[in-house]
Amino acid sequence: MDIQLKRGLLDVCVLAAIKEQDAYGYQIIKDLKPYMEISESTLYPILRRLEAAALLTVRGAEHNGRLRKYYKITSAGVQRIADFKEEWNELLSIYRFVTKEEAE
Amino acid sequence: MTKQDFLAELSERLKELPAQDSAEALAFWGEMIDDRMEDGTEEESAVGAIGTPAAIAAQILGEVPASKRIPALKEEKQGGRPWRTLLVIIGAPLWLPLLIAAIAVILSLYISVWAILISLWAAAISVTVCTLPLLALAVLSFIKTDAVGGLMGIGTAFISLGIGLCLLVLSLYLSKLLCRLTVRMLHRKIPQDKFKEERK
Repeated sequence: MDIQLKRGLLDVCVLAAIKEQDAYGYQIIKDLKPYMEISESTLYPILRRLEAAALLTVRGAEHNGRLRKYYKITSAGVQRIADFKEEWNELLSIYRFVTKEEAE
Repeated sequence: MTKQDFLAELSERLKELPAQDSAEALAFWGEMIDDRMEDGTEEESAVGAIGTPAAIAAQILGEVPASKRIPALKEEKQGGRPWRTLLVIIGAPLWLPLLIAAIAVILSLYISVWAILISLWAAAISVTVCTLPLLALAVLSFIKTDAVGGLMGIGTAFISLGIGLCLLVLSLYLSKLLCRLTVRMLHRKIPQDKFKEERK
């Protein structure tokens, strides 16, 4: 898959993983595991990029005597997911058109 | 590798970064190891599973623009040292006389301050000491001839004593002040140099 495309997709995946509920780093990895293998090395830059773009916020919370970072989606992040769905609806219509053409 | 070793090595490799970025990265990766261990993985396996410090550091540094790095923390070029020493030696005819002149000016200013203080002391002591002969003369004239003049003389002598004592106190206070300031100046210079030594 195209690198840039994959990057954009992974960003939205991470956002979707924290959309319903705040999550910590390793939890995101575990949640995404059925769909794709994402490593910490991949996740870290994504989280930093999303935070820099204000699509998520970070808060520290105490867990078992250590500080754990929880990631929370922002309204801008929710909007980004909505935009993604919109883009892909368009893509899907084009895809159907192209395959319909081929089928005929 | 243990978690401790992993984080130590990663920290070393990230030392070019601003302190905050480096701390964030270490917190993140430390947390990843802890979370895996909490899920039941052994420390060594957890560390092994997340990657090598070298690879991680390379990736993190790759994402950071060069402007954010702190070049001063990189290894100092060993080749630079002899050149710097050579330049200092060559430049000596220029900066050495200037340095000597500057020191001379500062020293002479300092000495003049002391000179003023010394003359103040001299005045104070002489006025105080004057009291005795003044008093003696006054008493003598009082006894011998001039009662009024004698009384005035005694009065003057005591005034002289008062002024003398005030001047003495003033001189003492100013001397102590000057000494304290000198010591403070010197102490500020010395710790600063020690601090510079450590930063090298």
